[in-house]
Amino acid sequence: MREKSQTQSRIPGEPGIWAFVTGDLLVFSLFFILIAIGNQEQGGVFSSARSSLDLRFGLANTLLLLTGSFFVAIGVERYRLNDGRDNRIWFRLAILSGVIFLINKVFEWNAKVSDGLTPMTNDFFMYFFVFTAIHAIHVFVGVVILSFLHKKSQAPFTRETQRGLESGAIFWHLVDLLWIMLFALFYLV
Amino acid sequence: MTWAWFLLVAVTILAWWLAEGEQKIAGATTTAILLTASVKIWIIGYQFMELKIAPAFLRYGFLLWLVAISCTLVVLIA
Amino acid sequence: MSATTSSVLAQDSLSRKSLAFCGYTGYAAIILFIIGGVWLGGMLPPIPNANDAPAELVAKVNDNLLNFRIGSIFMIASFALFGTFGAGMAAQTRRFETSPVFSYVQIVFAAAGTTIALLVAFAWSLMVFRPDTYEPSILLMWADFAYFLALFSVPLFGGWCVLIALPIFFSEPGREPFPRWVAYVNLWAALLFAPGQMVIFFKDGPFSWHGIVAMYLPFIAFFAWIAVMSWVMIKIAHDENS
Repeated sequence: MREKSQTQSRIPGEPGIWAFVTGDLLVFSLFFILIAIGNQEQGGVFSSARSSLDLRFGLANTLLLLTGSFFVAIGVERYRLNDGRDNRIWFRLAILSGVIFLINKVFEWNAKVSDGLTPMTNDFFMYFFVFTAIHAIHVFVGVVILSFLHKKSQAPFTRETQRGLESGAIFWHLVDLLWIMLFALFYLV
Repeated sequence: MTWAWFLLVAVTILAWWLAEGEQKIAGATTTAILLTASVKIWIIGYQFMELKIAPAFLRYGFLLWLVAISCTLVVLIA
Repeated sequence: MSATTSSVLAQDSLSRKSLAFCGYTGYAAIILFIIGGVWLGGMLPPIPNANDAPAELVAKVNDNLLNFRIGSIFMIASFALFGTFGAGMAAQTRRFETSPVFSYVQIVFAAAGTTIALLVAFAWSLMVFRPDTYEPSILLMWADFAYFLALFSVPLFGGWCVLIALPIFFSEPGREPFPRWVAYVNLWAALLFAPGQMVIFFKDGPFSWHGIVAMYLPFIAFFAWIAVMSWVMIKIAHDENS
């Protein structure tokens, strides 16, 4: 799997994006811990609230983001190969997965609210709505970044553009990664 | 790359199956689910975010965070 | 620091001093807020709470009347300096634009941000002006107003950060107004401000205007952001090569 040009270790993307990733992970770690503490202190409330979540929405969203990440990873890899092919399709597909995720989220929130479950209902739903909203903003920003990547992937190969693509991709993967944990904490546990 | 995705999807389905099933040992299922999440996060970091070609400090830093947050969550929840 | 193609600053000692000045006003703003908002004014940590009964708030205000009043003065001094701080960053951005766009945008957001901040201090001062004459719920409204101005304004303050980051990302490498890491720090700052938007839904808990996530995080991040950007401006001003 390793390309010949990468036998030496290097920082994927640029250092700044990793600084941002670190920061984001710290913030979301706080969020995860808050959910866990809530679960510990109000186990009954949390587990009954959790059971009113529709696992299908969560599962679909997880698969959407995983697949989106997959496409982005391929897109970046193909760009590096620099074999003249049009790699934009991969980013378009990833954008599609992000957009469907957001639409899905809106439907899901809507369904909950129509059932009378709002951020003010209990602490589980407080965390659920707020953190999935903050995450959804990340997805939205990710989609915007992907549209930049989509354009850039057409550009002639330069190390700079490669790093830019990698950095954008890393943000997208971060978004995916954060959802994995949110999915586990909100839907599965 | 492709096998990473298949693995991720497989682990997701596994976790879903665990969640749907009955909790015979409550703590164990919870821990298992959190572990599957950690495994998936590791795969995303290592393969997709390309930590596999990154300098050791970055890779191990990520691993350190992952282990720390997973342990914390398991202790708090399970 | 970034490579130089505009050597104007190197020869322009007024510009250097001006930029450093703006950076130092950022530090001053932080110190003034620590005196006015943290120590005396009861804003951080918050002495009022979003779920205070109005009568409770009146009692809290009366217990801290002089401190809150003096604190308000220090706070308004602090917040006025957001203007100089913001203008300095815009000026530095301007140096790297041939036809200015983002520097204008930044000026707009800096002016708005300064105005919002000033209103925070006004609200606080009105809360403690005649606490026994106003209906108690009006005092609560002043407290709500102060915190909403500061926290519910994420598109403004977070946007400001994004508008500092964007011209850095859009520039040719080597011709960036600030080093690239500054762009990433600004994006992280915007993220840390974001939970403040949630204060509208909650009157208690971590997402209320006295809460850990929606109040402490954005407030601390905001002043840390000022510290970092001030440091950067001062560094650029003193760097012979910039």
